[in-house]
Amino acid sequence: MKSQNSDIGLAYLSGALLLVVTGWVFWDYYRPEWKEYQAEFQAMITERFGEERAQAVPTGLQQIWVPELDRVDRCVTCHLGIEWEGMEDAPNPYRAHPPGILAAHSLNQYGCTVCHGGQGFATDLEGAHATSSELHWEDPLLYTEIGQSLQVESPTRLLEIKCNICHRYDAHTEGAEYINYAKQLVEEQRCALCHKINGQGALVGPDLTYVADQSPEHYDYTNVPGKLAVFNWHMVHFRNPRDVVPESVMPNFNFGPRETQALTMLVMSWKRASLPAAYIPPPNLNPPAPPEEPAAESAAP
Amino acid sequence: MLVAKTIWKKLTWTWKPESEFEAGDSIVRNLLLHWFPSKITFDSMSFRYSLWLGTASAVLFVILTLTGVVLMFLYVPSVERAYASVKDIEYVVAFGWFMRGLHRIGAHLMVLIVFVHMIRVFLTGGYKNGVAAGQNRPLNWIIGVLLLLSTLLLSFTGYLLPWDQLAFWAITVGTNIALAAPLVGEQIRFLLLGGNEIAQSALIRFYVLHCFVLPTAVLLLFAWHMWRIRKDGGLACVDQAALSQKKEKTEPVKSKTYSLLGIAGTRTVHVETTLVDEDRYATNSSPYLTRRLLVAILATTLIAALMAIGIEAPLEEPANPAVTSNPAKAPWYFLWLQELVADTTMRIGDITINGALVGGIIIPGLLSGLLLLWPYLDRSPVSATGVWFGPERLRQNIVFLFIVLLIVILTIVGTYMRGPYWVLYWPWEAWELLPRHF
Repeated sequence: MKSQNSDIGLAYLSGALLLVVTGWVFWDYYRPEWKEYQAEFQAMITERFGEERAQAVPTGLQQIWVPELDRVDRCVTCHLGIEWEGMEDAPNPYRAHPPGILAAHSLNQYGCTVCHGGQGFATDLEGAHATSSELHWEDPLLYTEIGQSLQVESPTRLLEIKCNICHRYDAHTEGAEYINYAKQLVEEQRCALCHKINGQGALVGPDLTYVADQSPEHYDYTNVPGKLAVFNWHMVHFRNPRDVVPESVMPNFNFGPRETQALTMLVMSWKRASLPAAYIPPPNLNPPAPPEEPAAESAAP
Repeated sequence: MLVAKTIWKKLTWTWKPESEFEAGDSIVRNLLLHWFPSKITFDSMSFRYSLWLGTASAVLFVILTLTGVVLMFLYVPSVERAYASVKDIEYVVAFGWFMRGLHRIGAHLMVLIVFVHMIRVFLTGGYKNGVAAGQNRPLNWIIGVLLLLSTLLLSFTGYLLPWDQLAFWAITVGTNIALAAPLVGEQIRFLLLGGNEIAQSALIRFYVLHCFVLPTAVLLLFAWHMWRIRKDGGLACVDQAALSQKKEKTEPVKSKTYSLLGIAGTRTVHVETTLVDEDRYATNSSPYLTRRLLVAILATTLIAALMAIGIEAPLEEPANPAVTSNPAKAPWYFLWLQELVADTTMRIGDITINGALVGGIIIPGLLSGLLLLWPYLDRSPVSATGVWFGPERLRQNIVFLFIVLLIVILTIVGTYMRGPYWVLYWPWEAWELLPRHF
């Protein structure tokens, strides 16, 4: 029978194709993106420090697990040079982390994404940096790519938003220049005369205590040119509130690009965060008297 | 040369039973095959009659069980860990993405194929009793409808488990429809969710339903479904062959098919079958049916595997009860209902029509009821049994296809043409961009 013979052919065909599919799945498993980065890093270490030290370079998936913060950060799978001395000038992803801040925020206790944003789970570049709006991840890597898309003055400083989630109640946080400047502006311009901030203040304008938790769809973007994002809404709004909300009673403070970025970063940091007590820095309520003087105490973990 | 010839012979599958007895025996003595008939009609075996959809859904069920057990070792059904464990399956578990992708696409395919299987059985009048005694195909149709509902529920309960925005809001939409049921709506939803909102108690309920209760139900119903097919003398198309045999005035013979070796003394099942074992109608199940079964198994697995590779399984932001995803959609196989709910919610003068009641309860309730009862309402003659588009069943087939078409159209509209704020978009129109934080 003809149809019976074609059954044999079909069985072999689909069986063979299934083998090919299985083969492809295996092959795919052995060539992840991060292996290329690890090989390149290994070569770089061999070139700079010799064969022997290159053997100390870890291979395979790497992660920092911080149960206290409910985070697992696999960034270190590719960003292998973070704690290598002598890699300060290397290109990313191999560059060493500035050591000062790591002294107070050890990698093992903080991981990466709690300060930098991005998706710690991910093991590919696109997923980890999470800057594409296609990716369902609301916490992108706060670095040049997202900064440029938002047209801020200083894209790389965006990560200070993250500093202020823990250091919210500090009047001054070492290293967080934009956030410090924004806090100074909040004092100088007396925002609390109209807004509730940190639970204190008047209610002429909206309560801003947890304004960053507001859903992006809460805002009206009709008069907001540029990126369809809360961050951009705040920037345009700080530039001149009535450009965005024509009936607004908020005065125009004539803020420049530096002020708008600083203030937007500050309001974007005002969100609810459940932090273990050990991670909340001791309050540093007094702003440094002369602005040139370094901060009295650094943030302890 | 001889070796090569032997190998070639082995590869080209030359085993053939020496006798009818050997052919039948090879079926009966095999644990996995013993529930097969020893002879099979060409029609029952053809792709043209049954499209092999029932087999395909059973194969998918096996794939789902195997991948599901693997996933059970990795997934944690708690609101704190569920999302993260799915992320881990996607990113760090060896072949995890493939297991999850195959499980997801297998589930969607199973819903689709079980539905199409039902359409096939309806259009061929496969639920109708034929000429043999002791048949109860209407009962098997009811079992089939229950299997369809169980498949839908299996897929629906699995939908919540990733605990992302897609899952959370799809289940919100789905369970809110239950609220519209008169009198018991609130209690049903409470029972399903273990509370008034979708939280840990709902997750664990869905998990247990998904991993134990519903698969067990499907397995039992499946066994019953298969057993009934044997009791009914095979697929309905066998009765067509019997009828054409009858036309040639071959007298039906009394045969005992299922008595224990013919020695069980009390009531045995005497089936008056018109034996259709003539060579022009039927052949040995072994190796012809078993071989084609192998093709069905391999082809179904292949298609599912290719789709799992080609179609990425979505995983949205972690579930957030405070932020409604926009648009919030039920799983696609319930979108025709959601679309109905949206379309029937309206105000005419002072009267407000409760869309959830109309589209979510009354219409699907009516349709399921009709579906269950239809074999008893269908009064067409025996000649319409087991034949595609039987002329005696023309009108009911047209009405049935019309309803199917409506469901398909509503599903397509709901799936592809409803954008943010449930606004209607043409497929070539870009959806309104939704704002993000950054």
